Amino acid sequence: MTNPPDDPLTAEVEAFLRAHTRTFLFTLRRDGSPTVHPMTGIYRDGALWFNTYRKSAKARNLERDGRAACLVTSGVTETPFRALLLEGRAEIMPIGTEWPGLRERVAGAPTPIPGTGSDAARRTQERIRSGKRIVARMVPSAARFV
Amino acid sequence: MAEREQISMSPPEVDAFLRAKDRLFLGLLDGEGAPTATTSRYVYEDGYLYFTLPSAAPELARLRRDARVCAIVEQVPSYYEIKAVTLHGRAEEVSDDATRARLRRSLGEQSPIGDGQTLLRIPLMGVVSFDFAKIQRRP
Repeated sequence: MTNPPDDPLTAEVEAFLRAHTRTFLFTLRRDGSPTVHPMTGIYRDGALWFNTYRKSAKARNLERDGRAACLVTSGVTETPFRALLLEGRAEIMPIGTEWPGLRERVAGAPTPIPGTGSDAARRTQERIRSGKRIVARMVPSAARFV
Repeated sequence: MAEREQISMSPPEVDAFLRAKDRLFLGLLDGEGAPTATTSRYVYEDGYLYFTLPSAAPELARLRRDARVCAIVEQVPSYYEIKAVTLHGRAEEVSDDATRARLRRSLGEQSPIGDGQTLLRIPLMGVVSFDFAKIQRRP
């Protein structure tokens, strides 16, 4: 199946998003200036999915104004280095929404960042279920390599 | 002491980290005030991150309209080696010849300064930093 012509998620974009998780999420502060949050972004179903503490600055920023941008990057030592810019809106999902792939990581699947294992994944899962952490997704309306 | 302060870098550590790295990720605002972003190589000198953008890039027009930016430099080899420095401030265009000549050598071919490229800098202000190695050293 091919995506519609105006869909920003081309095959090249989707392949890059499936292969890379290091993401810088850009949100707006109360005064309208930009700020940045390093994240792990999991691509699933046409959106980039994050989790964070409910009380974090990024969660509060997105609650106030959902406009967001993401730079998804290859490793800085990867050759050639590539960065994909996504622009769109992010939304905080209802309590209990699962972070894609977390169940598999709790069961022992590799984690995006070396040094975090299934114990860390389990703690994240518990905090998401309790509402201490939230899951957010960013749906891109534009995508381009920069 | 708050958890964030316990794992933040000291000013000399921030200095050393920014000197050791060479890529920044820049957040700025589009014409409607929504966040957008780009990336560039940089050189850290005299308390500024210097970088270039193509003079025809839409990002440059946006910075001339609203110079408010954030920038992040980070490393993530593994969880306890995560380090990052974030800045919040305003981007400034650099046009004086002496600085441009000095930075031409420092930035090299990765971010050439010349026709079609504009040199910019961000002062080291609004700094937020973290060093996850300090999580393991917390009492």
